[in-house]
Amino acid sequence: MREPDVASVMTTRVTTAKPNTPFKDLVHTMTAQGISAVPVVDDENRPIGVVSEADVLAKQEFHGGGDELPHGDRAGRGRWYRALAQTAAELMTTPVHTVPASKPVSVAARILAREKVRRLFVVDDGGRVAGVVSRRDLLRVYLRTDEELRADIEALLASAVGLPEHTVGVTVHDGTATVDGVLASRREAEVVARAVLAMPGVVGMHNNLRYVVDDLAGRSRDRTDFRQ
Amino acid sequence: MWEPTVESVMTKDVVTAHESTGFKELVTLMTEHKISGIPVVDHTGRAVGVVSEADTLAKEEYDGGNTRKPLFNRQRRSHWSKAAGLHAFELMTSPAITILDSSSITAAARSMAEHKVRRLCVVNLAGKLVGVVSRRDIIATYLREDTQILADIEEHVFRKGMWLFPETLTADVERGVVTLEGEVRNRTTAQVAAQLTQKVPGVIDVKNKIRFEIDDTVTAPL
Repeated sequence: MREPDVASVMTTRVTTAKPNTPFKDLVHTMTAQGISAVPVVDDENRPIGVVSEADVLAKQEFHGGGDELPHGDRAGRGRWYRALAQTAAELMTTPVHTVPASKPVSVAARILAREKVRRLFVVDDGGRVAGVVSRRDLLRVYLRTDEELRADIEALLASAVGLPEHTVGVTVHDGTATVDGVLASRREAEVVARAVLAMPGVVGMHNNLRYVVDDLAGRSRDRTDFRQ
Repeated sequence: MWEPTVESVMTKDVVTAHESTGFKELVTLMTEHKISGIPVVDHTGRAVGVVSEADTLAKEEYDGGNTRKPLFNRQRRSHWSKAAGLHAFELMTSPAITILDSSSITAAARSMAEHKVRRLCVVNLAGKLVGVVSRRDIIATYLREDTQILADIEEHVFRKGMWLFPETLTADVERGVVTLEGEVRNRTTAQVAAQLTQKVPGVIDVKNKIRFEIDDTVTAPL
C-alpha cells in the first residue's frame, strides 16, 4: 500500500525545552507559537518528557498549591502536586511517546489513539528529536482534491491490484469514492474494495462492484457489501 | 476573591457546525481555522456535542471502518463506529461539556481536568452557546505583566482583601514570582497574605518573607 510515512507529514521545526526552563518561559513558548506541548530534551536532544497545556493548567486549578490537597481523588492529588512546579523538569509528564520517522502514517494514528495523546515526537535512528507529528498533520490527507484521489485510486488499481484499465469505474465526490464494474470473482472484488477504502484521503465508499463467481461462498459478507 | 470570568478570556467568534455538516467540511474548518474542536449546535443555538480531531482521526486509524470491529474495549468500539461516519452527528462526542459564562477560570480549569477535554463550550443562562474557552485561553493569564500583577496584589489583596494600612506590606514581582515583605503582628496575617496572593491571576509562586511579632499558630502547651 502506498501509504505516506511519518517523515513526510511531520513538522520538522520543533521548539524544545531544557529540564531547567522556567514556568513562564514554557507558557510563553506555547502561546506565542500556538503549540500545545513542548518536549523536554536532554543534552543530546533526546526527549525525556513533555510539558503540555494540561500540566501547566494545574497551577490555575489549585492556585499554585494554595488550595487544599483534594482527598480521595488520586488524579486530583497528582495535579495538585504538579501545581507547585516551577521548572520544566517538575512539570513534565514522562515517559514521552515517540514514533520513528520511517513508520507509516496509520501506525502514528494508532499510537495517538491508544495513548490518548495529541502529538508524537518523531525520533531519528539515534533517538534524537527530528520532528513532531500532530493529529492535525495526519488529518491533512483528507484535504486532497477529488481529482487527485481519483487518479491515485486508478493508479493503485492498475499497479497493485493489476486490473486492466477501465475494468472498474472510479468517481470521487467530496472524498467519497464510488466504484463500479464487473469483476471475475468475489475475492477480486473484495481486494479492490479494501484497496480503495485504505487509500489515504478516502472518506467513504459506495460499492457498486459486481462479480461473476462467488469463490468465497459461505463466508459472511462484511462491510464492503457486494452484490452479485 | 476576585478572579477573571470565563467570559473575559473565551473566544467569542466561534466556528460552529450543524448536525448535518459533512466530514470533509469539518476537516477543512479545523485546518483552516487551526482549531482542534468544533462545537455542534442545533437549530436553537444550543451546543449538542463537539467534533474533535480525535473523532475525525478514527477514520484514519480504522481505515474508514474497513478493519474488524474491536472485540472488547468499549471506547475502541465506539471509536471504530465513528470511522465510518460521514456527518457531524455521527462523529461528535456528546453531550458537550459546557460552562456558564460567569464562572471563574479556575472552575473552567477544574472542569477541563476532570472531563479530560481541551475546551469547554461557554453558554449563557439561556443555554445558548456564546463562546469556547480552551486550555490555552486560561494558561495565557500567566503571561500577565509583572506591573499588572503588582497592581492587583495591592488592590485586591492588601487593600480590599486584608484592609491593611498602606505600606504595611510590599510586594515585589519578578516574572510572575511574588516576594512579600513587611512586618505584621500575627503570623496568621502573614499566612493569609501569602494565600490570597497565590490566587491572583498570573502569580506563579509566592515567597513569603513577612516578619511577625507573635506566632499565633502555636497552641500553648497544656
